[in-house]
Amino acid sequence: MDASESLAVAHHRSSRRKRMVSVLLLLPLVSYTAVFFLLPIGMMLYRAVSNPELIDAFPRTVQALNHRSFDRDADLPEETVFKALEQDFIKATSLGVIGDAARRLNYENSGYRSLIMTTARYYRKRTQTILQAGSARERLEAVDNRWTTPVLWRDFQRASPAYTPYYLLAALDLKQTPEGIERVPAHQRVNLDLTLRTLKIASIVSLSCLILGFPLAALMVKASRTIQIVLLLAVMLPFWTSLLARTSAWIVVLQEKGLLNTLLMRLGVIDQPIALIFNSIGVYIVMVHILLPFTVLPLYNVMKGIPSHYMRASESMGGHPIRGFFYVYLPLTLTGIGSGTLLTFIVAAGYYVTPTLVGSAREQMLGYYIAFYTNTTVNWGMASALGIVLIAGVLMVYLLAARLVGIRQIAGLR
Amino acid sequence: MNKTADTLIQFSDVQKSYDGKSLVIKNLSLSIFKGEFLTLLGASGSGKTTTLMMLAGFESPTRGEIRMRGKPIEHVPAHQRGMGMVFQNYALFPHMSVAENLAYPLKMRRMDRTERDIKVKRAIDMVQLHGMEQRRPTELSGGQQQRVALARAMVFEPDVILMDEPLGALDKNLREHMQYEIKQLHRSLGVTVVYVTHDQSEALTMSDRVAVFHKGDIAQIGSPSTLYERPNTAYVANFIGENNTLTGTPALVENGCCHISLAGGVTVKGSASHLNGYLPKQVELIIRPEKIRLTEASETSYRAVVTDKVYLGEHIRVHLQLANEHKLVVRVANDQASRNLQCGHITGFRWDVADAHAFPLN
Ligand SMILES: Nc1ncnc2c1ncn2[C@@H]1O[C@H](COP(=O)(O)OP(=O)(O)OP(=O)(O)O)[C@@H](O)[C@H]1O
Ligand SMILES: [Mg+2]
Repeated sequence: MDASESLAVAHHRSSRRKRMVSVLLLLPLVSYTAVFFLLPIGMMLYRAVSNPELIDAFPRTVQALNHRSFDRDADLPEETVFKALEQDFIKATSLGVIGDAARRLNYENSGYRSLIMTTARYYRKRTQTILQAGSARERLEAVDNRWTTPVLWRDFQRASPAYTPYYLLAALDLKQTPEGIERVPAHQRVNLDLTLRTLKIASIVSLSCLILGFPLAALMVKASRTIQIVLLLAVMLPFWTSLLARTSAWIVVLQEKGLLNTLLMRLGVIDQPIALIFNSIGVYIVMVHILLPFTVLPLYNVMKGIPSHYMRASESMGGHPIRGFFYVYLPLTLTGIGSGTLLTFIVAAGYYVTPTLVGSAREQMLGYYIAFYTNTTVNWGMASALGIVLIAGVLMVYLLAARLVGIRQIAGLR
Repeated sequence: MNKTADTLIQFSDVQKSYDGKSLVIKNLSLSIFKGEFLTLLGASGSGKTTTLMMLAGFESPTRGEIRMRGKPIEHVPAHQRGMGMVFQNYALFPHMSVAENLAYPLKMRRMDRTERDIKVKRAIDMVQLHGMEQRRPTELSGGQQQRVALARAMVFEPDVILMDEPLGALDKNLREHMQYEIKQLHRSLGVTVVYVTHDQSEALTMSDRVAVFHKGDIAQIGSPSTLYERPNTAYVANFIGENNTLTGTPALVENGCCHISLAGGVTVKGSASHLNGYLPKQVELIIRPEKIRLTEASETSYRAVVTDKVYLGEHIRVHLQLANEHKLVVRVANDQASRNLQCGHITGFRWDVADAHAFPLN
């Protein structure tokens, strides 16, 4: 016991230098990953739940409202709350902060934006002195009578905490109500469909890549050296041209008066152009082409490592080549199938440019809406929440694959 | 062994070319007898694997035919030939356990589960791998993998087992042990084995017959002792076992004995049986180190200078230099006389004429 312990200690000491060197070698990568990968993801997680708008714009009101509840219809806040609200409006440093809060409140119920903005404009012209006399509540009611409805205060209260599950719930078509978590009304349920559509498109694309890529990879392994190189170049070609150029090239080929339709009509195969682009067919054709290398290369790599004598061994033991394929070859390529398909799936699920260019509104994927919320409506919360849904969806598929194929296999470790 | 009646496989004038230009197998006619242990021995590239592959059905002869039990097998695909095969690198399926590997040929024959389990268990017994049934091949040592490969080729009780350098990857001790085990299995099962190796000592210890391949032809086929004692050609003599070669001019042949004058004026004698009555310009005299005996230097013996002595435990290798530039290696027992030999001394030596073979040199 003693002796083995001191051995462990000695070993630990003697290998310290080695460990230090490995840590030093890893340091640049670790810091790079931390700054450019972990930090942004952390920020995204934070953005999806952070809710600073009302606190920033109405600090006094939020504090005065603390722990009040507006469950019953008749419930309204006391005069102190209305006074605090007036203070907040008058002392607001800029209309920008108020505007952010108005936008945030508007997510709870559309119409609140105008309420906030009208009130803000009213108080901008007033000074402290007018607040001395009379009731703050009556003044606010005079500006807009919604200030004295309990439902507004209930919404205000719900929108005011520093952190909120609102965006994450909204990304799943859910919302918080006094009765608990509920699904949003049917006509507003878009995000779940969006997620499912994204996963569906990514699945169909990666399965198509597998169906096309498996025989191709197998051929590449078997073919002569020259054919091998030609095929490899052909597969790699999409990697060497810009994504935009490739996608536009497909538009030229597939559009209504494009190469393919013209050719088919000349040959008399069809007499009306078929819609091949700006619909789901176009999205699948173009995405499969662009993502094929992600499936083929890992598969090719794994297949190249399977010695041909395995199949011969199977035959020598009486296995028909077809049975040998299913019992021996296919299981040995599972690593490549797993990692290739998963890679394709992950890249496909995050696709943005291609569906935007060659799809219709019905083919837009999560990536499109993340960009939309970020660039167009400046709704960071929603963009982040959808980002999390995307990551979670991919992670789920990853875990499923790890369960089916094994995590070492996916990593290519066998 | 009743040869004609027991022929199992017959190669008739088989030729093989991979590229349509050169022949890898030139003209192979070979009978394989039922139950024998036949070894294909030859240098690298001599066509041993090619021959085995044609037999297994993975390559087809370019010309000629192969018959099994009198029927041509050209159109029988590999998986219907029913020959077990042990590959050089074993080809154990890495994604299956030992037991699953052994069950594979039985599964391919659609044998039912209970029978399969019995046979797998018997195979495990045969190669003594108890407790390793559930291991993956990568978790076994080289020798254990080899045994699994062997068991897998035998478990479905084929009539013929083909082995392509199955022991090539093993170290010397393990190889010798496995040679013994394979031989035991061959004896107890009575199966026909076609074994490929380029290790001549392996061929000699294991085989009933050895076919020496040389550039796509069989140089000689016969029992190990025939090949060793009565080689047909200088190539076979040199390929099998260690040899001394003396080149000289044949002076005369009398009573099957050829007198050869070597450069430097020495004349030596050897068997003329391979000269076929001709007297070629030059001959090679081939004699094995252990067939040379050292004697007192006398008028009737050959004489040479001892240039080196290598101690090998039970034997001593003595290097001799003849009066001319010819050198000989002699293997002598480790006894008092040989220990007394000194480098630089002159010793006499002699051999039986029948042990020295003269071959024409072209
Ligand atoms: N698939 C093939 N295609 C083309 N040439 C081949 C092929 N297989 C073998 N050869 C050639 O045929 C000749 C005989 O090869 P073979 O494999 O039969 O030799 P071998 O006796 O088994 O040699 P080794 O002891 O090295 O295994 C060699 O010159 C080799 O280059
Ligand atoms: Mg070979």
